[in-house]
Formats: sequence, C-alpha cells, structure tokens
Amino acid sequence: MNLAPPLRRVLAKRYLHLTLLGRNQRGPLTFDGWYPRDHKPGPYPENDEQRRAAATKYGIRPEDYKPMNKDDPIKYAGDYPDFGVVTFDHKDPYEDYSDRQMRRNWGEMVSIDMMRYRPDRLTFTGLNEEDYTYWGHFTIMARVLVPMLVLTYLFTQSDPNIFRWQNPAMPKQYPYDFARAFPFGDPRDYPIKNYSFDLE
Amino acid sequence: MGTKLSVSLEGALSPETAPRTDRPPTFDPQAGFERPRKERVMKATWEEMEQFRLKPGQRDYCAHHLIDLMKCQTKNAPFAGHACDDQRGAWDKCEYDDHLMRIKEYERERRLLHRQQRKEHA
Repeated sequence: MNLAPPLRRVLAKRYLHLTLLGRNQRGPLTFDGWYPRDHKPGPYPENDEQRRAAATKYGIRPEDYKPMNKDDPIKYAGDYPDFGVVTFDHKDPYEDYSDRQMRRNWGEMVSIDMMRYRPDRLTFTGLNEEDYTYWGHFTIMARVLVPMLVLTYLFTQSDPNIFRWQNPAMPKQYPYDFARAFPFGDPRDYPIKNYSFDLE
Repeated sequence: MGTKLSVSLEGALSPETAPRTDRPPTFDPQAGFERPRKERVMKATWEEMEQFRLKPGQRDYCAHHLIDLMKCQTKNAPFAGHACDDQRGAWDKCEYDDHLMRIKEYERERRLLHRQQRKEHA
C-alpha cells in the first residue's frame, strides 16, 4: 500500500464517529495492552476544566495543551497532547540536557511518536523508495560478491605450478636415501653426497 | 627472497625452463663454482640417532642440534620451560639455513636451465 501521504490521510479520515459505539476504534487506546494503569491516557477532554486538569497531569501549560484530533483514527489517543513532529535533530545541540544521547531532560514530556523519531534511527519514513534503483541494488551486491568469487577461484586452483606464494625450494637433502631403503633395507647402505654453498 | 609469485608465474608460463621441485637438481653440483663446494657432513652418528629414536625426517644435517635439545629436555624434565631455549634456537637456525639452501638450489637450477636454453637457441 504505497499511497502518497496526502491521499492516505484523506482516505483514512473518518466521516462517521463510531468510536462511541465501541467499534472501529484504532490508535493506541483500542486495546488493553502494555499500559500500566496509571500511564494510560484518559478520555478526550470535553470542557475547559478537563483540559486544565489534563494539562496539569502532563505537566504543560494549559495554553500549550492540544489533544490529538478526535477524528484521526490512527493517532487518536484520548487526552494525550499533540506536540507535532519533535525529533532529535530539531532540538538545540548546545543545551545541557540531562539525557544527552536523546536530547531530553528528565521529566520532559515526549510526543506519542517519540520512538519513531529516536536519535539512533537513520530515517523516519523508511527507505526512500524513489532513491532505489535496480542497478544500485545490483552494484551494492556485486562489489562484494565479485571480488569474493575471483579470490575464491584464485585460491582454490589445485595446479601446483601456478600462483605459488611460497619461495620455491628444491627437495630437502638427507644423508641417506630413506625412500630407497623402505621398508626393510638399512638406509646406511644408500648414502647420498650433498654439497653446501660454502667453497673450500 | 623475492621469488614468490614472480618465479611461479614464470614457471607456469614457460614450463620447459622451470625447475622440477619433486626431484633433485639435474645439473652437476660443482658446475660453475670457481672452487669446489664443501661436502655436507653428518655430525650426529647413526647410533645416537637410533638411541633417541629420531624419525627418518629428523635424521638430516641438523640432527646433532636436535639431539642436544632432547638431552636438555630430559635433564630438565618434566618442566623445562625456557631452560632449553638456546638449543631450540640453534636447531631452528640450522633448519632455517637448510631451507635457505634449498631455495638457493632452486635458484641455481633455474639459472642453469635458462643458460642451457640460451645456449641451445644461440
């Protein structure tokens, strides 16, 4: 389903409120899941008093408080505030944070998409599909596999006369011909005269 | 000694002047030297080698060093540690020099074969 984002938003918008009927609920409040009881967001604030209470609960100013849109089936989250897109890169790099790796102070309110915009992620939207090309895919694989195959071919040649990396050397010189005496002869019957490179 | 890949490629490309490494040299050992070469002598006797039960591959021109090493090891047994390092080093050096001689023999054989080919084609 690779729809363009604006089209997806239009199609995903609900035109009939079925949340109250308990069906077609989506978003983080539709399932009893991993929320500790006190961490689950409360119901959508209807009047100003509830809005103030919710703002106090979340530790932000009432004028800054803005809950998620009730009609948005994906992001609707009761009275959890909507901060927009807040990423690691948006924040001031020179401020003295208590959690420097995440650029967040202790007790600072996080947006509901915090895990999506973590600093250790490379991209927020997944792979850039328009940057993918078949040729690029092939190149990335080939530049590893082709040298691997070439070197495998070179190193598995069984012909001993080519690609010899050792210093080539004549056979070892022994004082007696052991091979000729094998198995029952005495090697002392077959001595060999060998010479060194020292001159007299 | 600089004869790694170049010599083996040369041997693969022109096999008729490549020395055979599975058999002894084919030329006269004394050819080309202004004075005669010294003969290699065994310093360990056959009886000593039998006594220490050396394998046939160990009964070469470095066996006397190996026998010294074994004597030192039996003297300092069971924990010789670094007590026999001198003898071990002497044996290793002798074996290394023997290997260098093998490489030199190969190089001598190679040059004599090239020379032979030059004389045939001259």
